Amino acid sequence: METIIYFYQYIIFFYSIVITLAYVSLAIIGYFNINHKKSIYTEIEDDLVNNYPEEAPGISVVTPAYNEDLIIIDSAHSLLNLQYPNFEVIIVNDGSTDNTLETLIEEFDLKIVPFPYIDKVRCQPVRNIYKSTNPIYSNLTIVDKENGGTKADAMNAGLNIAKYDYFINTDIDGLLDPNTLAKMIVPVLDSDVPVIAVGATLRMVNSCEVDNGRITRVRPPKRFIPAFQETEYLRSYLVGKMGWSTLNTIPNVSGGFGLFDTNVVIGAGGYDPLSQAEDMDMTLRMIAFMRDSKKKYRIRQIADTCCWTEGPSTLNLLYRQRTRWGRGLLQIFIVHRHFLFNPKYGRMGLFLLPYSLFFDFLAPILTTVGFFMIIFLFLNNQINFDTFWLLMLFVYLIGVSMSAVAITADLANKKLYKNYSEYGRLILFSLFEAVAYQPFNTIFYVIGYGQFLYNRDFEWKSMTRQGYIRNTDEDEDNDQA
Amino acid sequence: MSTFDYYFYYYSAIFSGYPLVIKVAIFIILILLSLIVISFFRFFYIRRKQILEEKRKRKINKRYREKLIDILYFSFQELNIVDLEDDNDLKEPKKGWQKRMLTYLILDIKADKSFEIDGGVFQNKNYYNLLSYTKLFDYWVNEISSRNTSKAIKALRMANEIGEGIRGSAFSRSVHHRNSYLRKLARMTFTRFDAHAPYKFLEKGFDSQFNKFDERRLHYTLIEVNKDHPIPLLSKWITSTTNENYCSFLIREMGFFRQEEGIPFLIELYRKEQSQQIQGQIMMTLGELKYEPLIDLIKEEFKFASLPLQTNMIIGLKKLNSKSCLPFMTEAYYNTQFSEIKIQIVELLKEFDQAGLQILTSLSKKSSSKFENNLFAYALNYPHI
Repeated sequence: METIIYFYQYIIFFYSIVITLAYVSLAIIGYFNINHKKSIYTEIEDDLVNNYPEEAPGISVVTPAYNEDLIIIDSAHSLLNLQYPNFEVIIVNDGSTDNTLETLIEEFDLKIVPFPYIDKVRCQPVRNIYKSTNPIYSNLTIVDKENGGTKADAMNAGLNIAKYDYFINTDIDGLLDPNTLAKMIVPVLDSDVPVIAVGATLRMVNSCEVDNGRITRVRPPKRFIPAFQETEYLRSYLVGKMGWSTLNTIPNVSGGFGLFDTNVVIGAGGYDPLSQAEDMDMTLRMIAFMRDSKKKYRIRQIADTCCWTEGPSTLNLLYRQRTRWGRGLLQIFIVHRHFLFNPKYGRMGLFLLPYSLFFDFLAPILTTVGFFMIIFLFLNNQINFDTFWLLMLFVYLIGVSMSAVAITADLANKKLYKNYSEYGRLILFSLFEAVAYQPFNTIFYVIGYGQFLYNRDFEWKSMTRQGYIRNTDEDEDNDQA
Repeated sequence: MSTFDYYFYYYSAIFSGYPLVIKVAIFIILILLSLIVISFFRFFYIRRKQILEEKRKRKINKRYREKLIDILYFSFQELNIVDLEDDNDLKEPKKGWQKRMLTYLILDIKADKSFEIDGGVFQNKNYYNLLSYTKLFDYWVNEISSRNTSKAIKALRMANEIGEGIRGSAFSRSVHHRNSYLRKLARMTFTRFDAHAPYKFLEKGFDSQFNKFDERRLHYTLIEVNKDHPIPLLSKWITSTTNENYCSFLIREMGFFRQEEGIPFLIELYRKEQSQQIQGQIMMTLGELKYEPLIDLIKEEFKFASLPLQTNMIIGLKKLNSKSCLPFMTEAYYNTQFSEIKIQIVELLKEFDQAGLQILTSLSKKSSSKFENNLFAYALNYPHI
């Protein structure tokens, strides 16, 4: 037993060193990437795409909705108000049991049309396709389909009617920056190698002020869990993905928001309806498709915040989200195990997936085992407290330092919060993240792995919404009433 | 021995006695602490910089704005450099930040159309005299030669925004820079402003890393160049490049600048070219140039063409906008195996009103699948949805 504990301690120690070096390297690479992009992409580039319709490649914005009656109108208006000369909005009603469809029909004067639907990728049967009789909503299409149980199935239905070469995959609760589409398409155009996907920074909408589907005041979340998540997202996007983007090794373009090459996604077989992590699964299959076709590709990440999404505000909601991510991650490594260490898949097989296996998948397991081991050692008086605190400080500082780097990178890229003290608030929260947030995260991931192994059925559920601050006259009237 | 030396040796002695694991841990902790300290410094540095920028902007606005509006819109007379020098309210900015801020302010006022609504007329000569008097041209030309790539890129953008008055020689270093973004932007700016050999880079394939976004930027550069003197026949540079993106771009521009004299070259190129991207662009350009025999050319090739090429052929016919293509549409509809192309053919037919609707009606009678039924029902019953 002592030998096992002895070896385990060394493994954890070297594991922590490698992960720290990886994070520090990503932070440095990401820093240069953000600075470089900031110097070459400005409003002039966005205007070049926005002001000349004939030059703007068409983009389909596809978003599935399941029982989203409360927010569907705000979200649809937010999407329809995007500033881009050439886009369509496709909302897929995935067999909602509330009034999502009826609300849409009433708001947008929708009518069933005999749409020429092409089955390019598989999904549950489409019941009807609706278009608006009001010409100002001519770029809106609603697909009403049988419930497929997953977001992936609904996305596939949207893909089957998407008419443009690029599409945005976003959640219905995501509020997009009006200039998002130009920002996302510029890296696609500005590349001599085909760019098959582009990701951007997501952050929490929870305490932001929203007026008619537009963010009017960005604020860090007031509640604890979304505030921790805000920093977690900034770390993931501005340190992790901006760094990986330079090496063309982004493992996952977020399912919450991302731009994709329609033909590549269709060529790769569309989204997998059985996948619990359809975004990472899709990204990996797109890479595999390009490698199999012997075509060059790039996946890009931009530092700008393009999408605000409502983060889980209670432990229960966080549990639901993170167990799903845990199930998805384990499923990825089982379904795509043949990619691992396979030179045929280049960097993805030899570097990216092994990295993700050791540092994303195994981290919650090693942390949990380590926690129990510390208790065991403590009970047996085997902890040397002279050096114990040093090693704990080491682990603690990994998270704090990366948060500090990410928050500063966010400010350097664009000042979104009105006051600098609001950035300070995020920094303050990051000091407590290791003890007040990460333990739950770790446990939920491990539970997710367990759920997957016990093969329980999981379907996508509508999220219990806390809502954000809406600045509409209607709301004021309601408040007065 | 100083106090510093004493503690240095004291802690070094303690440190050297620790096991390797602890030594490594301390080393990593120091790295992480350094990152935190650097991030804090950076945070406060950015904060200070942003606040200072705002303050400077307000200062420049307060000092110059009213005067500039008057000179640029409401003076209604030419003010030469001597006149501007005599004006005590308009002092020449000395510091770099003042020149930067003043340039932004002048460009903001120039872009603001509300002054014209209020009865003002933009005084172009005053604008250039103002830029000369304030030495803003010189400032940005100097910045273009900066060793700092970001500064040079910013300066090139400003040169393009300002409009005129910068000679091609100002870019001599940037046009061969190893940073591809700076190099391409410099070459575009050179094409726009150089009076002696503006097409120097167009002749040589422009840049090995020419991409779709450069196409858009160069397109608008050529429009600006064409305002001063018509651009030459672009086909002569097509053969000197192997870059498909650049070749397609030149072919597209031939259509935009209506270079009909290049049509025989394009047809010859179409027959010998292997690249589908270039073939597709030729189809679209011939349509843009209203080349009626394009229909016969498409008739020959359509059946054997791939999906992207068929798409470009249909776009070519759409640009051609000639009723002569209508008889071919029925044939094309039955000859394509791609549902996407069938949709595009139906969309094209809808644009020909009555004549197109007749063909649509006859095609609909022979529709044999649910897809086709929906396609025609949608086109015929909901033409405006």
